[in-house]
Amino acid sequence: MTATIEVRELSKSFGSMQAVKGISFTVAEGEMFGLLGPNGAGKTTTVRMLTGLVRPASGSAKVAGFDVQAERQQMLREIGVVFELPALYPRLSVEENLGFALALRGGRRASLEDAIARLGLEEYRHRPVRLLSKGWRQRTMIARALLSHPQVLFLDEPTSGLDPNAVQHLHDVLRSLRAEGVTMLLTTHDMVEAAELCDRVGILSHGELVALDTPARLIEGQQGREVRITWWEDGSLHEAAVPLADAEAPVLLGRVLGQHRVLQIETTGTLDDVYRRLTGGEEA
Amino acid sequence: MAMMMLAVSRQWCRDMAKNAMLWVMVLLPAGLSWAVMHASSQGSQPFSTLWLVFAQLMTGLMLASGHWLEEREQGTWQALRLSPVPIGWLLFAQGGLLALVTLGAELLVFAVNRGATPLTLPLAVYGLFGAVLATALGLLIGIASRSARSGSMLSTIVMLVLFLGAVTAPGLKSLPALHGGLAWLPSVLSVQALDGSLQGVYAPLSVNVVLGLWLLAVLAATGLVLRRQYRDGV
Repeated sequence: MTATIEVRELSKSFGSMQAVKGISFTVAEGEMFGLLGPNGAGKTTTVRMLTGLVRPASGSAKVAGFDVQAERQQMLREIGVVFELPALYPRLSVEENLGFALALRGGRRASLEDAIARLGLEEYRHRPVRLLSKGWRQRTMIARALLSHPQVLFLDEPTSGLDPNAVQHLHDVLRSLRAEGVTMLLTTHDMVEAAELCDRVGILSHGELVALDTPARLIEGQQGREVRITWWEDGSLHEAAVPLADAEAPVLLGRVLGQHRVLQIETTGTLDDVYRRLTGGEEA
Repeated sequence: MAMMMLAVSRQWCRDMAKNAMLWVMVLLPAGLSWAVMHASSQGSQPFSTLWLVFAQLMTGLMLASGHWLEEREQGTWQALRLSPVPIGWLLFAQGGLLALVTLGAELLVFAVNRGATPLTLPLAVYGLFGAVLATALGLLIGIASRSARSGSMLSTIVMLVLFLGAVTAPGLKSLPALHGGLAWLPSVLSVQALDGSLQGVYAPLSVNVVLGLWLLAVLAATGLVLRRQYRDGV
């Protein structure tokens, strides 16, 4: 499968702080790739370099076949970007905001109608953006990103601060886009979201890519797996989470199972666990 | 590209038309000049080109800096930089629109105080040039400031310095120590040029050259700021 995003040894420093330290990865055509990491890990800087907003200090990147520095204008025609914060003109209506973006890209009016219908914005199309809730603004942002039928969609924490219904709707839209073959790079703090949506994830910590695989393989890869046991002992409830990678795990499990009344036992291991271990408990 | 820029400019016009502050800044110089001139001498005072410079600074500089500070604050500046249209074209289109609005404010000041007198060609030329220069300064402040607050403070300071410089322009020659520096302020030169152009005369070559150098310097500084922002990811 061809790579739609190719990142080679990409680095960026701000003064003495090295925000991104020579990361490399590829994202295949039609893949949904999650970039995870705590605040300050370098996710947004990476997205900004890949979208041509920031010049990398070293390394190279290609998006949709175009070099992000040398062929920036051509590359921008092939991508859509959704920011965490709505970047819309608050005095203009939804339709006017989309019309503005359409004028910038020289698209056809039919694309605007398609985007409005797809994001369910018909009822709000004439409403000024300043009067919309965050969820509807985010839908408008996505509609705008889809106007030019992008090959690649960058989504920087798109569900941050949205209510569950809005998140669900957004997930449905993203799934349908993936089904259509749109390549997506998503940054998020929500591990459940990443595990549900992403084909592969990369975990960034202190500017370095510390893991890169499918969520299932990362979870299966021992680091994240553990057994959670709840048992009754000496008149009170006890709970323990034992990492399977821990050498003491079989001993502890044997003792509890053999000597006490076990109420619940479950083998878990979530992407969240993997993430916490790999990022050393940095704040997300 | 030209059609695309026309379409984009139409959308910006829509946004500007819904901006109440824009209307205040366009109408304020005309209203203030009319009120002050009528209150001070019952309308017999000759028209001062200072009011045109006031309109350039109030509408051009203040409105333009506020416009770009708002673009940055609401994130639309970043969205514009992600459009396939080169940022230079977008700035040219936005700046051009704001310069025309500024020229409109100047014409309004002129019309309110001088009636339906036709403009001389030099007055129109210097009026437009002043509008372009003030807008370019506003653009520089708007994109270079670190925050909306610091940007609005800076644009207020620059406006005051330029306007007070223009107000004191007639007395500058009696202040030799100050004359060397203040006489080259763009607002002082604009007043000189506008005063002459009221009689249909173009300003001396030195004034035109220095005004042109001011514009080039502001545009060059804007280019450097944009390059730095791309490098630093601001």
